[in-house]
Amino acid sequence: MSKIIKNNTGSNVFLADVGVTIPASGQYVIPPTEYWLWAASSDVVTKIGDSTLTVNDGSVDLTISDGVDLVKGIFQKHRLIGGTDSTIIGNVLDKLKVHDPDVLSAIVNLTTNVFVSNIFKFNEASITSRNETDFTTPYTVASGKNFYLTSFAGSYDAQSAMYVRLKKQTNGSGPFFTIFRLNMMPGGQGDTSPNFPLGNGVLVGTAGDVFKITVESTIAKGTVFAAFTGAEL
Amino acid sequence: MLDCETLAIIEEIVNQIAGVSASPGFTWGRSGNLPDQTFLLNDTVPSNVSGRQVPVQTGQITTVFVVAEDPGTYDVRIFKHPSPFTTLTAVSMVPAYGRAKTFSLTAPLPNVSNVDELGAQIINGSAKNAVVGCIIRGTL
Repeated sequence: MSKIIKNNTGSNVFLADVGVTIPASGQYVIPPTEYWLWAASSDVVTKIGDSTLTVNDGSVDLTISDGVDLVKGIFQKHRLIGGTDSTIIGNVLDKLKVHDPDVLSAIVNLTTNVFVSNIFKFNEASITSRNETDFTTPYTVASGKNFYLTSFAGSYDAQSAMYVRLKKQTNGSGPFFTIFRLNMMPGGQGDTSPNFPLGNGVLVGTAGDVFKITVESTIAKGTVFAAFTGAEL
Repeated sequence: MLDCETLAIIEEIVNQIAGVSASPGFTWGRSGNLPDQTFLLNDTVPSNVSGRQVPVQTGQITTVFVVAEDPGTYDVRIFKHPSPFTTLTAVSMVPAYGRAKTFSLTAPLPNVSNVDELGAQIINGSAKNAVVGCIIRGTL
C-alpha cells in the first residue's frame, strides 16, 4: 500500500514540517523511509482536513479520515487487489466479492457432490388392476431449476411380477416415457434397492419437465410401495 | 621578552593558521524522488525546520558537493536561517555532470559564522535520493 499525497489546487503547497512542496495539481510519493516524518506532521493533517490535499493509497483516493489514518500509519482497511469497483472491505457487514474462476469452479465441484434431496415422492397402495396405472402425483421441475435423481425404489408383497416405472414428460407436454424401471421379482418381497447406480445424483430433468411413477402388475393382488427422491437445484 | 601587544598579534596569526579547519561532515540528504523546493534533511530533520549550526567563529564555504541517484537538471542552494532563508550559494547540476559533482566556489566566497544555521534545498528541478555537503574553512 503506497502513500501518495495529491495536491488538489492549482498552486504549490508547502508543508513546512516535512520540508516538501507538493507541486500544483501534482503529487508526492512518500518514501517508506520517511513515513515516520509524515506521521508526525501537523501541516499535512491540516491540509488533508481542508481538502487541499488528498491521500491516495495506490488504488483510490481516500476520505479525509482514512487519508489521515494512512499517513499516521493506523489505516487498517484493505482493498481487493485488481478489483474494478475499488470496494473497501474491513467494516462490519462488508462482503467479500469473489470473482476468481478457480474459486468458483471449486465451489461448483463441491456443491455438485453435496446434493441434499429436497424432493420426495412416494405412495403405497393396493393393486386392483393389471394395467399400468399412475402411482404418484406428477412432480414438475420448478422454473429455473434442474432435477437430480438420487434414488428410485419399490417394494411389493405379492409373489408375482411387477413393473415400477419412473416416467418423464419433457417440458410438460407430449407423452411420458420411461427413464428407469424396476422389475419386482416373483417369489419374494421384491426389490427395495435402486437398480441403477445413481451416485450423488443424476441430472434427469430441467424446468418444466414432469415426473411420475407408474405400476403394472401381472395380477391384481397385494400392495406396492414406490418412491423417488431427488434434488431440485 | 614579548610585550602584550606582540603576543596578541602572534596569537592572532596562530589562530588564523593553526585554527583553519574543514568540516567534511557538513552534509544533508533525503531519500525518494525529491520535487522542486524540497528541503534536505539534517540526519532526520528537515533543514528548514532545524539547520546545521556552523562550528567555526568565522569562515567561508569553499566547496559544495552533490550526489544523486540519477543525473539530472536541478540546483542546490545552501541557505541560512532564519526564515525567510538567505541563500548563501547555489550550484547547478546538469546531466553532463553525471550523478556527482564537486563545486569549488570562487571569490567572493560566502561568509558564515557560528551564529548561522545552515540548510540545503533542491530548487529549479528535481532529484532522486540526493546527498549534499559543503566544506567550510574558518577559525575555531
